[in-house]
Amino acid sequence: MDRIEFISLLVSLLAYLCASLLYAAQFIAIKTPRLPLTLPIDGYNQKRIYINKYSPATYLTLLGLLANSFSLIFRYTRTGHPPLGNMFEFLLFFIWGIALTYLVIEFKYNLKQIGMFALPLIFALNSWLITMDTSLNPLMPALRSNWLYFHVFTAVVSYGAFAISFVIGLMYLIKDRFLIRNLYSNFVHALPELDSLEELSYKLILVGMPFLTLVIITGAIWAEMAWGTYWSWDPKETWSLITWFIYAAYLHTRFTKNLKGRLSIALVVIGFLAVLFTFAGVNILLPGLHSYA
Amino acid sequence: MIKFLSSIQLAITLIGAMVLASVFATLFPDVEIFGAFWFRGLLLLFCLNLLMCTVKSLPGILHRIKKLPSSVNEERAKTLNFSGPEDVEKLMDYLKAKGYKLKTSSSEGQQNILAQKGILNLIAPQLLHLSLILVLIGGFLTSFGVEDQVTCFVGERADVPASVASGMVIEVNDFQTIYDADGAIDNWITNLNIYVNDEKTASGTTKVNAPLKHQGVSFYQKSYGYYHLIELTGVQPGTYDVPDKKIFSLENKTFNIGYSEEGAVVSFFEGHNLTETVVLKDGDKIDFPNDTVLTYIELNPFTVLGVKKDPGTPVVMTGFLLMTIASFLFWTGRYREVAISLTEGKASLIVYCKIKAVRDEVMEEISERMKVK
Repeated sequence: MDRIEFISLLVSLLAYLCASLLYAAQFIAIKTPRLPLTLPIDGYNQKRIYINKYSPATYLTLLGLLANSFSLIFRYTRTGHPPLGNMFEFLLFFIWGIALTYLVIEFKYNLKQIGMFALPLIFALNSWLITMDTSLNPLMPALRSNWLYFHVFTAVVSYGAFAISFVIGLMYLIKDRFLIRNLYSNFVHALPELDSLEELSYKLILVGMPFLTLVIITGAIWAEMAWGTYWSWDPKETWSLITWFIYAAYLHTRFTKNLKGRLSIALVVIGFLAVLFTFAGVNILLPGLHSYA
Repeated sequence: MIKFLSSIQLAITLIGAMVLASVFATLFPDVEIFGAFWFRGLLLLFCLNLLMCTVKSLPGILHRIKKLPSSVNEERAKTLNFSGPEDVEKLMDYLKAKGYKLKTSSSEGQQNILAQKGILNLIAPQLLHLSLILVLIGGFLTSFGVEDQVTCFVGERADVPASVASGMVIEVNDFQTIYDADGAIDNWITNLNIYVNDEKTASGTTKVNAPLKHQGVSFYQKSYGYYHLIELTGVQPGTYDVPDKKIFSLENKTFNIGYSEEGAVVSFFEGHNLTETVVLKDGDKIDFPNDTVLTYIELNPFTVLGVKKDPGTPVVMTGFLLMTIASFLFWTGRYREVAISLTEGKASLIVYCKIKAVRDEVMEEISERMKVK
């Protein structure tokens, strides 16, 4: 691994680790008994009273994002093409997308409690990244297409939104589990209201879903141009369709039946597990046309 | 039956079944799932479900779109006071500013206003359903398409298989491997002429990611290869067209000839070990024992093109376009309408939206904005 690239990855890794710890510390430090016990659906702003808008954890997340951005630009200058050619490069971009989505959500709603769950995920993915093969390989001819940029960019947007909706879904399930058992604690009270979590998770999926649709469509058009077949039931294609179906089922039930709650959130969690399998599981376990990325 | 076919329960069951089948198919690739009769049956049922659901909801949607303002049922309405025409003006300006489309009517001293917003969101699910139906129909049509390949040496002609296009012949003018500035392969490109019934009808190039299309037939760059034309004198005299990198033995010397950008590379082996390489240009010679001489005459490249005629692809692509539009239409706000009847200083107001929180919010906003109690 190139020394500058290694330092850049290390900086992002340490920044995300420290941010994870600080978000957790910040979460524990919330004086929950003074918080209102109920929070209206659109009451994200109320939390702003209790948590500083710009905390060290936020700055560290921003530092990690900047280090990731540097890694992407650095690789671009070395290869001469956008860093989208192999699994390392896409994971780097994926992490960048999740970190950016998280920061946008934090700035918009100031729900720093999400950071305690999102940053460990980002840190874990970054730890995996640092163990990957970072060698620079030329793009194979089929990948030298403008469709690659549309395909991967839309994937990064949708995966970023799904990742954050996943951690929000986990927060929902944790809080819900505690409330079912009548286990009231600072931890439970410091988590946002279930309705707020449910609504935010829904909004993120509403953002991610059109982009996931575009991921599949751009991939199909590109496959038609490169190989003469828009759909070949390749494992990656199939798993992206499975992911699409899961989120479609979630949106369908919410749209038509206004289904909310545990079952609905379970689909959000399963949806992101399908995203992870589409991204990593397929590459590792199910070789196919996408075995390079 | 129609109720069952258009139900959300059936849709969710079918989605669940297709997800399970797809997971199984990827985990056990040797088992034929996607081509199986029952899987196609699931797709057909899904298509019917989408169609019935859309057909069932269309009248309701058209009713909403065409709906005209009418007198509001006072029993179901919230009653607000208003002072006079200036309040009505304010209310209408406010609704317009909020993006509502207004329709008005008046009869017998009563003024009726119908404000609608989010029509696009109302049609988004139906458009998405139609796009999915189109994609599935396109996929079905694709199964009637034909696909084959044609191999042709540079400078020669070859028939396109009659199953794809009868009477079509290609003539390959050139085949090149294109390299980028770093020496990595950028693409493979074939320059060809197309003849239909002996008449030249098109010429052009095809390369990876840029297929050539002519008369409904698409030509894809699939593969390529090289032969080397050599002449031998000595024990086995003659002219030979030898495949790239095929190993030969001549006068106790083992060698192969491989293509490179610099020329033909002749590699000599002893056992499995490479002992010597020589680069030959056209006309170069290598001496072998017993007065045997190998003369390199020329490189003979060939290209392999995939040829395809698929009536389903344009349908699928249209479906994709509609699907993209429909997906983003979900970002427009949920459909809502405000029906107001104004009469003698009193306003009766009904807000319609599927989401209660939105209904309450709109009602509250209007009441607050108009500052009426």
